[in-house]
Amino acid sequence: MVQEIKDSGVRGRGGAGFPSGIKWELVAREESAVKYVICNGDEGDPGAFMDRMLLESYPYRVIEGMLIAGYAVGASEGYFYIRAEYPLAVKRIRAALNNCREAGIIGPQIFGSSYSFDIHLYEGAGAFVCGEETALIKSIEGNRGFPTQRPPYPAVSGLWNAPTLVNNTETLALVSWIIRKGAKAFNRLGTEKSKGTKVFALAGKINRGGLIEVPMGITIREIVEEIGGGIANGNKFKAIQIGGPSGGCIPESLADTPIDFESMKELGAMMGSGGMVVLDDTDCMVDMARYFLSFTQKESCGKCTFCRIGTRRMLDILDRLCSGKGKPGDLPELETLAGWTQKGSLCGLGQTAPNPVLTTLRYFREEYEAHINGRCPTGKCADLITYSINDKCIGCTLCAQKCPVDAIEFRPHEQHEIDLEKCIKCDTCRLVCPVEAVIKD
Amino acid sequence: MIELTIDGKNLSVETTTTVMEAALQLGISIPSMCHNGDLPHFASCMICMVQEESSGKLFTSCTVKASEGMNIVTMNDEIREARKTALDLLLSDHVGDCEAPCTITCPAHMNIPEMNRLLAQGKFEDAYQVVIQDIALPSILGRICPAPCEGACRRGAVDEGISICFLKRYAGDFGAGTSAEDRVETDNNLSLQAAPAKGRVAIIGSGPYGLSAAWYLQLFGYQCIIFDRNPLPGGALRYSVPPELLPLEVLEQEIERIRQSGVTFKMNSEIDPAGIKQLEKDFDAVVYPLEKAPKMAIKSSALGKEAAWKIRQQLAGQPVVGERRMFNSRFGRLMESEAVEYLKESVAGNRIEPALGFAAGMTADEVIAEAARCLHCECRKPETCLLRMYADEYGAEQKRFQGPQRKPVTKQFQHETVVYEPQKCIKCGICVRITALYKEEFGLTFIGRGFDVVIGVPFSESLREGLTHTAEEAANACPTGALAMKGGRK
Repeated sequence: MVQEIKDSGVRGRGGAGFPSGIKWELVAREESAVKYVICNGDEGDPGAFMDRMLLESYPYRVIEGMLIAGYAVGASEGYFYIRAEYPLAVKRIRAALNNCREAGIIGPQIFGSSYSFDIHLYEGAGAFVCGEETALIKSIEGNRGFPTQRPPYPAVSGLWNAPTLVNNTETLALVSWIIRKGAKAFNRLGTEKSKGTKVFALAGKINRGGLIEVPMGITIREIVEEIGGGIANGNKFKAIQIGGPSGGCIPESLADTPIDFESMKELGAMMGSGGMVVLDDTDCMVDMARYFLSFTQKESCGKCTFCRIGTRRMLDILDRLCSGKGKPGDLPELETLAGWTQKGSLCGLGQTAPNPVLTTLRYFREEYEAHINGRCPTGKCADLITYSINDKCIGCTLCAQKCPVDAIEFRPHEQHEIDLEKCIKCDTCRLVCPVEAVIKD
Repeated sequence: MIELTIDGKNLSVETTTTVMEAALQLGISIPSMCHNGDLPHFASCMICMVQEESSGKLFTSCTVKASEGMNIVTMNDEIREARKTALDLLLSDHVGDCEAPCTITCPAHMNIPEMNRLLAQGKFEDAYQVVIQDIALPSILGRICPAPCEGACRRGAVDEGISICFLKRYAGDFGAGTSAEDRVETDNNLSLQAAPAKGRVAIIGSGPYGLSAAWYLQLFGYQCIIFDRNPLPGGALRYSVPPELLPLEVLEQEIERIRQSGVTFKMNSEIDPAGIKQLEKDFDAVVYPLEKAPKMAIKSSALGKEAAWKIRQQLAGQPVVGERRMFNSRFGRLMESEAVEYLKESVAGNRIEPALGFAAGMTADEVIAEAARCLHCECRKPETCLLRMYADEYGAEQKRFQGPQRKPVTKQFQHETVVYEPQKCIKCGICVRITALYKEEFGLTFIGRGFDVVIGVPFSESLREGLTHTAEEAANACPTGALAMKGGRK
């Protein structure tokens, strides 16, 4: 079975893409009376819900994958680690486990064989970092979810120091298919190094969003234009953020790149758990980087210096840029800091947290430079824009009527004016103006 | 056994040895703050990073076990930069002063809070000894110094700055009134024991600069001879300062102390360029007069001390850098909310002015009361703090990653024996591991996450509950001044 998984070429769907077969082999090779299999269902990326869908809709498929994995590596116990924010997934997995236990599918001497394997359910308390395998293990052990240095890898010393196989929900869901249909059937799909299919959560400025399962090697453009039905509201496709907050932002100019683990990494992004946020020409890249970094910064466990303080200081710089207080030295400093946070952080969270910043700096540097010069090209950063009314104004008073803060004096038949002291840049006046006399810049 | 290479040297170690321990076997000490002896390792501070040569990967040497064939580099430019960056980041979130603002502002860098502590306890002789370690002429300067230290005093943000100058004057006068024979030996005693003469130094001019240089050089063990064109020593102190400000007997008494330390005065000696050449020939070193005398006598006095240090270093064949100044963490002005925190270590009450007037100065009771007003802003561990030590060694910059606003300082005094200042904490978790190891019922733990994580007692219990029998051990193991013994200062 281990060989079959190896031959299939399947790689971990959790994000890093480590070859699953090799992981299985490492655990199988360890000599230990006790070994564990853990299903990582701590899906925490904003906008990603493929694990949730699998756990809620196909619980038996995942359980079967775990059983096969347990049998293959010689484990006798398994754990589902599911975040408590997925109550339905927890409920259904619990019910499914009970059904399996009653039917003798899990538990002692399965189907009268000499093989025993039971599965427990552990609810995570909502820390993003617990999706990192060493932190996840600490959490199951009843400790604070702090990651630890690898090596030792969980395959050697994991849960309660026993060899432990930690696989992502999506990976385990693929196992039964691979075993049933064979490695060849699986690796017929995909690219040279990334086999099979991958589930993505397609979201953002797209006509059709949702979960999609596509073969590895499909191009970004195919996903956006054919599956997603193109950009909504007739706007222009600008970029795509792949891999959630740990991933990177890929510009439209590279949209013909076939998606696999290698190509994503090369572009500075990563497969991650498979979040895909499509961005259009109204999206500010600096603000976007700030959004994703603010997420990882908040979710840092606080253990190591580079992640705890480094991500915060990067965010300080982005906050400065977005509020018009950027300084000429900010970009090199941001890059240096991002580089050290990548290199110096203890676990994947900190090591990948700078990716959105680094990729946007790489592909959209001119937008950063514009912010330093006090301008947000897309007009998203409220502190960097002002509104004015030009002489096209017909004095219809619509803007004055709609302004929520009375920043526009009601003067029928005259050209209106905006009191910038009062203006909160809500954009309402510009949207209601019938003659496009309200200018934002 | 495992064979590996560290900094080009091969060695074999037991299988469970960490890279840091292995390096130590070669005598290579890798810096670290979150690692502590036998406690389980943690990998938090990231100062102990080393590099695997082939992959170029950096990793924490405190946690990673030595493995077969490893080739480790413990220092190069990249490692140095990594450590410095980690220190810069830690310092950007370290709200605390190593030394008090008054000390840093004082041109002579005198340890003012220490003097205040001793004065408040009535230990006047000890206070005097603290003063003359940095200021050679305390009685004189106690009358004429414009006291920039008082402007920097944090107490000024609460009510009024401490009357440092009067306090120093009292200490100086107290010391001057004690003859050398009567002088009690104390811990701080710089002492006037005649050190064997290590060499002879000629000093031109007997103003505050020359007197100060002579005093320190004499203490360092050099025989000093002061040459001055005037009939009496003191320079500007005697000939420019009005005697109602600086009474003649005060000047005489202070000079007399310097004379007693073994300094010889050659008065009426005008030194012309040829004379200088002669001095250079006859002496091991010459202290030349300052080209331009500073406006403040304290500055001249400080420069005299600096000259003494440089000559000492030069004659000892050491790098001539002057008196060593360590890295100083500083955070600037107090926020309004912080006054209360700082007052916890002090007493209420406005600045005391000498009831008997300027000429008489403060009485002993006034000195004790005024010195007690000191807020003791400086750290409790200025000499043992690892963060300071490494910041100094790696040339760390506290302002490199300064955030938009700093965290407000708090000082927790509920515990009988230790003080906790969370804003100095680097979250290394040593105290957390100690309380776990010794099975404290509550102990300490990490609360919150990310940048806002703090170390505290679970369930909002007080520090007393958290540290019932491990307080001293935890305070001593804390690598910074975050957790420190209350009586930790001298």
